[in-house]
Amino acid sequence: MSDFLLELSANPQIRRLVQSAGLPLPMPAQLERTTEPRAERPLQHVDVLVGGALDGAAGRAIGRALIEAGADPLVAGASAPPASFAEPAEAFGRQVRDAETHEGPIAALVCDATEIGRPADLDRLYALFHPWMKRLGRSARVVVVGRPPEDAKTPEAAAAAGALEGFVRSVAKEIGRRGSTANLLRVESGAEGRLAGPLRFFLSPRSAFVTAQPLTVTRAVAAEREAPFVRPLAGKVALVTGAARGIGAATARLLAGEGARVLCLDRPEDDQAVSEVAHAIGGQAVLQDITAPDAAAGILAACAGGVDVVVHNAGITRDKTLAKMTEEQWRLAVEVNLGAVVRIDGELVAAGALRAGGRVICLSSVAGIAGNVGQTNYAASKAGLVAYVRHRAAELAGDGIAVNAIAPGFIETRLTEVMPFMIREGARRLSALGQGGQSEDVGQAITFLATPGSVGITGQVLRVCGGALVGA
Amino acid sequence: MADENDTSGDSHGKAAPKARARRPGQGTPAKKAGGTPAKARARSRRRSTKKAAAAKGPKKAAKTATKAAAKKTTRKSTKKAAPAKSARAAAKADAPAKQAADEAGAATDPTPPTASGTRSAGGAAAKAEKKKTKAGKTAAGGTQAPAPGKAADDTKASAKEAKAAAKEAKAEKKRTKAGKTAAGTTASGSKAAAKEAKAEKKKTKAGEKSAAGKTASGDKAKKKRKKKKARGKSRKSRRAVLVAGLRTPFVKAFGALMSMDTIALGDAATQALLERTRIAPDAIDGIVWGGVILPSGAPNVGREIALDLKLPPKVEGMTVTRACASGLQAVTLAAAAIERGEADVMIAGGSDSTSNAEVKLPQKAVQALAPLAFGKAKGMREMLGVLSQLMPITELLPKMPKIAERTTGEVMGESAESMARRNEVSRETQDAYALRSHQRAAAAIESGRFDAEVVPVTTPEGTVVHTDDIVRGDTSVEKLARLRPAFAADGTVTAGNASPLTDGASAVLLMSEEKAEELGYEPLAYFKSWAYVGVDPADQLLIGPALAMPLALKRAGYELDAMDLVDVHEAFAAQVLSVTKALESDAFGRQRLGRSDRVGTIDWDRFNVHGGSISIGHPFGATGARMVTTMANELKLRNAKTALLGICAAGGLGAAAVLERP
Repeated sequence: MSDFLLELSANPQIRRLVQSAGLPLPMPAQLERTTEPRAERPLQHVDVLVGGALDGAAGRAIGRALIEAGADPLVAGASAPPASFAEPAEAFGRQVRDAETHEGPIAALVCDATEIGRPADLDRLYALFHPWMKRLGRSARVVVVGRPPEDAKTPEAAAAAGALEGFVRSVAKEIGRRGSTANLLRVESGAEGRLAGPLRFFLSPRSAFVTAQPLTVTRAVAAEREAPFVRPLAGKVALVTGAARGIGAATARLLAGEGARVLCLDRPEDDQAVSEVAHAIGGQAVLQDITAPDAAAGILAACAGGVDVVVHNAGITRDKTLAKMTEEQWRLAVEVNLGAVVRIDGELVAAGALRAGGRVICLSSVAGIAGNVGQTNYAASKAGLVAYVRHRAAELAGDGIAVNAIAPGFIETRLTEVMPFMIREGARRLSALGQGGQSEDVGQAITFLATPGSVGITGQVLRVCGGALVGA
Repeated sequence: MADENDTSGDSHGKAAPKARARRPGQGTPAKKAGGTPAKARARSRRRSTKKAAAAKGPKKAAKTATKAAAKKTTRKSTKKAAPAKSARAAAKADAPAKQAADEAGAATDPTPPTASGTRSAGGAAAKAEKKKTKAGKTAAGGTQAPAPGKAADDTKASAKEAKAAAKEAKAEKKRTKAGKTAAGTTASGSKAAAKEAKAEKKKTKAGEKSAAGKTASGDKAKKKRKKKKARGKSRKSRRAVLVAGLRTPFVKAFGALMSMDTIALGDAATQALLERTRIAPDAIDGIVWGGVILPSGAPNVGREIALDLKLPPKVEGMTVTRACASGLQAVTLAAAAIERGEADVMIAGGSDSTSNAEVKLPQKAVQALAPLAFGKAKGMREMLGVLSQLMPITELLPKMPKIAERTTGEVMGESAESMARRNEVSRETQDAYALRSHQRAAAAIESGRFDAEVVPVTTPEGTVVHTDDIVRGDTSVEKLARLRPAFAADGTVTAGNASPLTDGASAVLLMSEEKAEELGYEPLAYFKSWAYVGVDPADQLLIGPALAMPLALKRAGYELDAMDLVDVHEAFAAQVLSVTKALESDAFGRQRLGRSDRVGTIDWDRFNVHGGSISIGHPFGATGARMVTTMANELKLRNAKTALLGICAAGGLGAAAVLERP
């Protein structure tokens, strides 16, 4: 599980040695992560710089979200604080500060690019970012808020909106070596009120391994009541498959930390492990083989009374080149990773066990998106999930249920530990952050998608890959 | 979100529908027995809507009652025109009654008997049939003769007459008491006669109508509504009025009143109140007391006061703690008890003796010394064992208590500092406000304004304390500017612009309006509304009043500019000014309160007119009753109508109340 270069780079003397000697060794930065549950004002002591148009609906939503999260925002390029910021600042007792007077690094940068209507307007990106790129501290967060290109009314607007993605991906690669992330939020017109949840996620240490990603925020999912930001899953029931170890166990722990009652499901052979996890978090162990014909019945029995969050994490690999693969290997991988997911969701929906306002999160994979030698079965199943969530999302949006997929990149687990050295190194280094992720990183992303704050995100794939080149 | 049982809310409208069911002659026993389950459901539905309507106030309840009645009458008229349709609709709505309907051949009303809005298109026959089914006879039955129906009618009318008679007798009594006998009898007599004539007329009318084949249900409904209205009125209009209030002088902690603990101070204030008002001790129902520093051996200070003053044992007592809002909480709890009819006369107040704050031994010492205390460490070996556990001795020294938030560890002064920074309240503004407080309090003392409210206290040593000793009428901004910041090196909050540690007590006498009239007390004010809110203590600990005051105003149905007086507890000048800034901020009103603009503009001439806690002092539990007393007296002196109170409290709480002069 050890990333040798990451350990080396943690030692400041070795970093200096490598730098001064000019060795071509990549020294990935230690990422700043958090184990705490969500707090009321996570941005209280975070220097957030805001720039861009700021006077439209998106600007108001950004201002309100940042100030409610406790920030004293630094506004760049404006002599007076924009009205959209002055009002929430006054109501919540925060100061809007002038960025020019600020000394020291900035921890986050939010750019409102929703008003960029032509390619020429992209100069505003340069104007904002050029002076501040060097001032970004370690593990900084960059979020650009734009509009979806497909909603553009004119070709110029479409061109400008589309340009944001390439811009953000490149910024992510430039700042990745400092452990910083950059992401793009494409907010549909009218969905600005749903920006608070994604902003909080992307500006927090929770999104440490998510970078160079676009996410679209829409009004597709039926609106829910306002949920608190602290313990947002209180009173909710979550089902996590494959919860005995790895990403599943990490996810179960994080969901419980946000107040959920977690049903930890795994095979009966893993009784010991899954019961430990369930016991530690006050949840319930569910022993069920998801490929069994009566799996759905068993799960429904466990979910009596309904379930709010379903995390399809259980998955297997049966790697073999297609010519040498046995039929059993093929069938098992596809069945566990894809067939069971579709079938179980179908049963839950048909039985009405999936409550309104719920969430379904499937674990895809960047390998699924990109393809891999020896993983025809695995990639088929993981790619199938991508299309599946898009379809399910459209079907369930009216019930207030959001369906999304998470595509982890290279995560340090016992599965990846046994990979050949060169392939493992390649997978780690060919990314913006230059390192592998942790199970917790994927768990944090899953938990984000499970919270009420992610109601604007549905039918999408969120890669937790550290900006990996594979399948990007 | 106030539901009917919420004690923080309108002081009116606490209907007690249970009593209704037990009144005699309300209806036939058969009817009371319940009828069909659907009817019972509908009955409870109606009761709950009535409850809700009642909670809104007597006028509104009357309005909704008349509205509902109007609806019923219109429904009736349309149904009259389409009996068949109504039969089908009614039958659908009430399955068990369906059978009866089929039997009776007329539509049945699924609503309970008291809602006489029957949809039957028939005449007396249909009504009799309806009564049959309502009486809960089986569908196969129907053997009940029309006689019970008629009897029901008769009993109803007679019941109404009896009620009218009773009412008139009561009115008679009242008038004789007031001394208007001659005129009274004729008036009451004529009234009663008029009532009787009305009842007679109604009866004959009803008879005519039924004979004519028209339904008499309209009148019956009206009668019933009137009955209900009358019943409701007598329940809803019970108010708790403040008739007197006073306090001990508020003195600096570790000063003149140091030797009196919180119970002794409470005794002094309450004794003075009893003497001033000359209320008979056995007329008092209970004492509600507020305090923050409660003696660990006897924390129910209210009860201890009753026992110390040798009040009759039936005078119950309780003590509440809500940090600095404990006093107001005590007064509103007493008022709520009176409004609910649980008590007629209550004493409420609060006290705190900061000088007698118990300083805690570290728990390690307590636990180590426990064997000694319980007599378990007898031999030398055990004694040495205890001693060895007490090493190092420095860990045992008691720590001076700080007023700090338990969950955040922040000292309250630091919270005030951060509020001053966040809301941009400068040192100069704070000092100017503190000066204002001192000047106004000094002027009040000089002019004798506080003479009626402050009573002298004789300490156990024999000294007599007459006046508040913290007020500095001769202070100035220069003097205040010389004080060093108390909570941060570069801070703005000083000892001069913060409320000091104080000893004192205050008490008020509350009673129901009827009792006040009976005993001959002049009501000074009553609580139109109150509100208690919570805010996040980690973010502007003391901003509570900025949320509680608008809520109390909303519950009272007033806007801020309707307030003749505003009194805000001055924990720190920075806190008061932050709260007033928030109330005057359009942004705050829009973003935090869901209003379209600010709560209102502060009229400084009406604001803390006689100073506040900064100058007078702040014995935590005594401040609430002090503010209520001063505002009630001020309303009378100015012949004004309304006063708004606001208090912030540790733990991130806010309290507010609207006082109104009757």
